[in-house]
Amino acid sequence: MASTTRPKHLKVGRDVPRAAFPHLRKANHEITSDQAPEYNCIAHAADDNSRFWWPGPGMNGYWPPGVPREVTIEAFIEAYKTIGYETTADETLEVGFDKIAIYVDKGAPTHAAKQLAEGQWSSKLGKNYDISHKRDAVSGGLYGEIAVYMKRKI
Amino acid sequence: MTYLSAVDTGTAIPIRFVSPLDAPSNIYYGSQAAPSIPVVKAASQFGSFGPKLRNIEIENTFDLLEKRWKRETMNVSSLHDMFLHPAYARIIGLGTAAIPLILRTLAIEPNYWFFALESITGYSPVRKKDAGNLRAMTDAWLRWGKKNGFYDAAKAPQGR
Repeated sequence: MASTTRPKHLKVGRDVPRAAFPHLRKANHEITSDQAPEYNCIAHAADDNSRFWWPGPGMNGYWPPGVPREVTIEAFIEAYKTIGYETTADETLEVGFDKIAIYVDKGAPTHAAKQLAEGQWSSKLGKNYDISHKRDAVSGGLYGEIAVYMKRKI
Repeated sequence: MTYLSAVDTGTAIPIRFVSPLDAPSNIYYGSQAAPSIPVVKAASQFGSFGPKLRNIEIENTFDLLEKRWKRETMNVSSLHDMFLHPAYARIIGLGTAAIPLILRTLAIEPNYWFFALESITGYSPVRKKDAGNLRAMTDAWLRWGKKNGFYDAAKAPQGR
């Protein structure tokens, strides 16, 4: 899809299921990319838009070498540690730091978002668009809730 | 999202997905020693009893399942959830007849069909260094399809 025809907002109920994104509203998000199946949210939060990050099955997804290939919050934290992130309890905007959030549903990681310079968050929705959004706009449905924040020095 | 919820007990046990999708012996990679379980190598392996490559009923079923899978996993980042989707499982269930249909759609619009192809054939031509690289994985499977008679780029609609 050419960027000139890209919609500004997702239509909940048409572009994305309402049950999957119960808090998403026109007022709390904006589409920031074309649709792209080449990368997912886990890669996007790691600033790698060239590969699909996921720990398997087999060799279907990219996963940092040496990190257990399992869908656990511990493995995802380890994956982001390989690029300099450490866990933090502070999700607020801090000058000089990148921050990411890892979402969990039923105990399994589902999604990751990265904080933008102005305090908004950026998410890649599966193979769909990137959006900028308020922190809780994509919580409560498909992706569950934020379980861990991580940060690294810029 | 997980499609295991229909069969779980309702308890909040984290699903770690280590089996059976991740069983290391499931798939034969070309660099390994010959597998003990036969793998699908070529369309000619099936002779006259082989997959009917233009079976319209299978094509229609495939098209419906593909549309459903794409629509319902569009916002999913988990490959495990994508591959456990019921429509994806049914496509795997079509068996070798699905291989040319998957390769055809892969050529038109790259997507994560690799696990289905691995599951049907028991083989993967993807190099370890290309894991997660959609274009490289697509190219590896299309080359495999051409070499083994499952995919003809010249006959594929909008193929390459």
